[in-house]
Amino acid sequence: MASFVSIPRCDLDDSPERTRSLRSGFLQSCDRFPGRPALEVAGKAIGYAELRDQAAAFAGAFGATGDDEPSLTAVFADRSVTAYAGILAALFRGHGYVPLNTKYPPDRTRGMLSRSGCRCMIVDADSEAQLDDVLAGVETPLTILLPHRDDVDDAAARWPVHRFLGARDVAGAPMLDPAPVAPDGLAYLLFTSGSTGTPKGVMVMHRNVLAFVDVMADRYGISEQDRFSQLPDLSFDLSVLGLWVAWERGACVCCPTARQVIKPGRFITDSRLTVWTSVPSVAVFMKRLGGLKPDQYPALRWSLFCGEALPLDITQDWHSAAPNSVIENLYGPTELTVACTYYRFDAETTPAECERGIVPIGQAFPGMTIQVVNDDLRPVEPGEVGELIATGPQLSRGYLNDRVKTEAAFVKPLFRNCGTGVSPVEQGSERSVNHRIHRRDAGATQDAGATQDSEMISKPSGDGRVFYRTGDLVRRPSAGGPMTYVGRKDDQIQILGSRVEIGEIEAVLREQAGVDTAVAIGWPRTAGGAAGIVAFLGTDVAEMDNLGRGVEACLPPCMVPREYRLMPNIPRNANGKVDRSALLRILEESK
Amino acid sequence: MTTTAATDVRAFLLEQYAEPLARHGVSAEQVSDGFDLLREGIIDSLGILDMVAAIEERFGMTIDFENMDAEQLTRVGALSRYVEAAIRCRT
Repeated sequence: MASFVSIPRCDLDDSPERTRSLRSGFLQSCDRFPGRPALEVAGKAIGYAELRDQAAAFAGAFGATGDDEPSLTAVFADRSVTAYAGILAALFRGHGYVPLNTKYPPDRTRGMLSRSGCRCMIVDADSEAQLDDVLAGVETPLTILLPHRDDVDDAAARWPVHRFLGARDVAGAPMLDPAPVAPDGLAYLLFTSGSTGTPKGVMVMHRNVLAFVDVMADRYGISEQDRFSQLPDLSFDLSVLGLWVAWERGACVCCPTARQVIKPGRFITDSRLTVWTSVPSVAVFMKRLGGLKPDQYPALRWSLFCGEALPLDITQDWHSAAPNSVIENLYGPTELTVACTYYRFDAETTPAECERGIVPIGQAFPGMTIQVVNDDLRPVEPGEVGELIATGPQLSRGYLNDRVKTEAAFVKPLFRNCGTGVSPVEQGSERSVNHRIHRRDAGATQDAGATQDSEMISKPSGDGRVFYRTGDLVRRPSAGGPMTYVGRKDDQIQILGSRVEIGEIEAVLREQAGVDTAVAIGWPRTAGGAAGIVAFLGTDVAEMDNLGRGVEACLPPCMVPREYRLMPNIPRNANGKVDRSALLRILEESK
Repeated sequence: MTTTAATDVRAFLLEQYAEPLARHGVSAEQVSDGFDLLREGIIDSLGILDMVAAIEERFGMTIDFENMDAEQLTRVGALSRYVEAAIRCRT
């Protein structure tokens, strides 16, 4: 089991690698296994040393980092060598990375780019097709690297405000020595759905993700012989698992093309994977297309599912298809750095431990502390349902430039009688909690550039620490059993692994349709959430083509309704609130 | 015994996706054997499951797509022939 790594040394000196940061494991693997494959994209391998040199040249092309520059670099690239070299280049510059996604509407991407304050961006060949749309209206001068292009003059002519770099700049660049990084500096910034229509940027620090990587790499005994799947887009934090846990130990990251993603089973076999990570929906998809047959994937050692509720029946089918792999269910929100609980599947004992056919989420990672609490942040009794709150080394820094939302979600319950701190949930039953909530200190959401001065979190103040409120309802274990997932507390819904704020979709629908009432319902329902969205609009007339296009321009694909229904009199309950269960019944009846 | 020919499957797909095809300005005649529903944006990767469900419902049987590779699964000609063969095997 993992020995939990404490906060990294803070003595920044002339040697940047004295302070461990996210890139350190990759650089060590470069020294230990320079010729071994670090990455395989579309079946083509690239070695550790080669990838390092490419990233260092990217970093060098940008030149020295400006002092007044926010310490983040955007990577508008996916499923390409440029995407991964770009992330490494950001870290070599001493920056965190901000993954942008071509599947998102350009307006949304532009918003993320501007909110992150990035001045530098790395773009791959496929994503360049969207670049003009993203740049429209961006007034802050950017330095944009298009490493696939020999000639960037036309782009520079179209966008005189920005500076463009191409392949020649990379080839002629001095390789940049990694710049110093503070442990509290940002490793990456990922955006999650926000209820008021603006995505929230989650600030994950180096020490957060290093804690996560150490738990994973130790627990699964990862070595240079392993080959990891890398299915999720880089804008989804599950990608952090496959990427950084593999690189920490010299393993190979196998990234399927968008086409290979359609046939994950073929990808497992062709890429000779030993470690599988995905959202459970991928397994459901594989089963549906006949890709989960007994003993189909004998080479898999580990199968790690994360991101949404894991149905028991699919897990059993996976167990039979990959009989030599140990299956674990990981749980955690982006704010707690990918995952913070685990549960190991056991064909004999798991069925009895499931709740409503969903595999338990188990127990906290070593080092993480979990409590199951009521609305006053008092622990509920064993066997009762409450909200999961958690703290520990993986607790992120909060939402970028959004103090209100940070203070609402990162709270400081004052636990009494806790001389040694809050105990993990299994032992925490008799602890009493003072229900006064101390909001996170001011300053928690300063600009990402001001990462050096953080005294923000996890410092015990009195006997209380800052906990993140997940909004997830779980059943507190009793008698040594595992924790089980019950559902969401609020109007978030899980759609294929993404946490989506229903309120964000409804805000866009109201605006685009020009109606007062718009309701988004997750439909069809799946074990852990929904496969898509159906929209009800409180009107009997709508210009559907324009509406569809308008909505698609505002929301990522998983949040775009798959069906619109016009309903002038949307059912309401006695309090005048929209009766969502009535709408759900309408959908069920019309199935 | 009736068998379902690949042309029936093709006709079903054209009917099923008539609206998005029209939106993309593609007429039935322009849908060649090699026309890729995914690449042309007629369906997305999630839409593959809907497509499979629709085919299975229309032709009244479940079909194992495991032996079809990723390049072929969303091409009208290859998909139609695969479904035809699957139905023929069953009947």
